[in-house]
Amino acid sequence: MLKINNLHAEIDGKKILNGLTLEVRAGEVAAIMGPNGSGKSTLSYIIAGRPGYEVTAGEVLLNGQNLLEMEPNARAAAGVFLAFQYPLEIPGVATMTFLKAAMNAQARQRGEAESTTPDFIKKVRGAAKDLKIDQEMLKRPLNVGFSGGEKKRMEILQMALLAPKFAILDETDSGLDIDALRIVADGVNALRNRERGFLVITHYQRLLDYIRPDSVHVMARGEIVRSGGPTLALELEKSGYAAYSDEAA
Amino acid sequence: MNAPLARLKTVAEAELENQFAALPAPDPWRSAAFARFAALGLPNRRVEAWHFTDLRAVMEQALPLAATNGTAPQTAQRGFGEVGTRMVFVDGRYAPAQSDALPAGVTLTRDSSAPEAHPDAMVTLNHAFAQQAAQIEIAPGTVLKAPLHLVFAQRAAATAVFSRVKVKIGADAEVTLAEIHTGLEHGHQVNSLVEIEMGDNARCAHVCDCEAAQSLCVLGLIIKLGRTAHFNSFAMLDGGQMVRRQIFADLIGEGADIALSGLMLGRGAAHLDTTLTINHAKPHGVSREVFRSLLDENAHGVYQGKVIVKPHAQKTDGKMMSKAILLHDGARMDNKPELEIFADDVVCGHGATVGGLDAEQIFYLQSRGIPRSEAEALLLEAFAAEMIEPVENESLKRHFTGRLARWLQARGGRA
Ligand SMILES: Nc1ncnc2c1ncn2[C@@H]1O[C@H](COP(=O)(O)OP(=O)(O)OP(=O)(O)O)[C@@H](O)[C@H]1O
Ligand SMILES: [Mg+2]
Repeated sequence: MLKINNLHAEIDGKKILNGLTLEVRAGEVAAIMGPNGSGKSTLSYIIAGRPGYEVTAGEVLLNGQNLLEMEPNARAAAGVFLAFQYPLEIPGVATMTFLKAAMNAQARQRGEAESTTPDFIKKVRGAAKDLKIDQEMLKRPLNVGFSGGEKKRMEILQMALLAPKFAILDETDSGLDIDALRIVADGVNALRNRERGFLVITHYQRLLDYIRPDSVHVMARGEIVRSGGPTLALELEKSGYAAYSDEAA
Repeated sequence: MNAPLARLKTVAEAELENQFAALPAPDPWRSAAFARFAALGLPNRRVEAWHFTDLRAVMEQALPLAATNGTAPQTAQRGFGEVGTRMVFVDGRYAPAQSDALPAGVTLTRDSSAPEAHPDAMVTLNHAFAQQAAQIEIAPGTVLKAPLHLVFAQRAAATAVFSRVKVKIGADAEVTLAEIHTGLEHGHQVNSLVEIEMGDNARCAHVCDCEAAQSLCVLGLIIKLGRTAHFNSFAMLDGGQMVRRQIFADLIGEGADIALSGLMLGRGAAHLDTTLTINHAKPHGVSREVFRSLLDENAHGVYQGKVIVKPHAQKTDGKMMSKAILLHDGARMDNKPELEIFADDVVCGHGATVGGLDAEQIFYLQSRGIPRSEAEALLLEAFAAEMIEPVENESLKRHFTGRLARWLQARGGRA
């Protein structure tokens, strides 16, 4: 489903990704772990299409479609979703207005019918209830004044409504309390199916106790330096990244 | 050595002089006002308060004065919000046939008394040319539920229009005033002056709407606030060859409170200027000035705010902020917030920003599937709508929201 081949990328002349190769199959949950600054967020931004990076080599394909040539909104319409490590505040734009704009825009770009207002409201209410998001919050400007945990839950709400084909969760667990972590994980698990792929970036095993990954990859200095099964995460929890930084140094 | 040269008059200045000379027997104070104007000349870059708005350079000619009576065309009589008492001024003169009956507690008279001399050339020119001031008095204690609409309508011919309205709001009275400038599609030269005097504890919510189209507009607002009087104002200026809105506010009573806000929407070659002076003369005054501008194409925005705190005005609380978003390389904004503080126990601050849209916010919206042009429109609307939000009167708020939406729509999907 998602194929990243030999991806090299830099920002302001600084090399951040150094020949990264990774494949995530349909239905798979792949976890990426790795030290701070190893390029995990950069990778997710490049997949989502954030401007400012220069890709000097390599490709990113979603079901054969070259994502790097597409506008970020076209990637979203094609099924890419990124839950941001630091979700942005959008003053003056009510959360409901934003959600409707996003859903309608994606439907339009895919040539599908936009959902009717009552339908839309029903969907949002349902998803918000599952994630224990207060209805009042939906009336407020998007993410403005939301707590760290509320922002993360709002990301998952968006994911649930937009039902992407491929979702990247960039440290969605950071800032969540224990109950919220469980709620968010349940939200993600509810979306797991045979067609959908996930890339879960995290520093902690705890999230992976709830969202059981199919594969675990270690990223260091802009590359995948090791891949394995779920037990790799447990191993890292014990030994840390020392082995990989030595190797890379 | 040469003797100092008399300043050369521009064509427009000479035309104004001829027009004034042709007026049938103006009051002596009007002649005196014109003499003061003639000495000052049209405002230009060398006058500090007009540094960014060179009216003398832009005003190539003085359009003929509007005829003294007439009926506004239908388009210019368009309503403004659904609810309100309309007072219509056609080419600067009160038009009773097109106006609503005045509510209880409100009277309208003509005032021909000499105004206080004013340092600004365009206010002075207004004093010289405005035929007479319409004086609206709101009796003390009167609480008006429906807004008073002052509709300044121009007829189709390209003429010069001078209007002057005085509003006296009695102690403890409450009123919503909507100042509407309309019918400006035909390239008028408008010099409007609204003078508001507020008694102790009076409250006034004011809005000003100027869709200036092809006209050159100088909109003056002079406000005097009595003790614990409260004045708040929102203005929307758009389009136009040149719009200069100037506000002179004096907080002459203790504990007076003024909040001025506005939105300038510029495209084409529009030049939009908001310049204000707030004078805190007594203790415990509060002033807030919050202005935002959206400038596209080659539009030029100007915000100048001067807050003066006199020596006795202790405990003054003043804040001022101007933010502009430039949507095109050709657009420009000049911000000049100033504080002149002569008292030691005050809290005052100001800020100004000029920039583009936030690239991170655009990316965030795009990453959810929203195309770039739509993401921009959402952010622009949010930026501007936050200014309209505090307008209390619902029908006025709807009017401004609709105007903003139309302005943004006309911008279309351009990046
Ligand atoms: N705009 C930028 N200019 C220069 N360097 C940058 C820029 N953005 C990111 N970097 C650098 O790129 C490297 C990778 O950053 P990135 O955010 O991708 O790391 P990460 O693996 O997500 O880290 P963390 O675990 O702390 O979230 C870091 O060294 C960072 O400082
Ligand atoms: Mg990161």
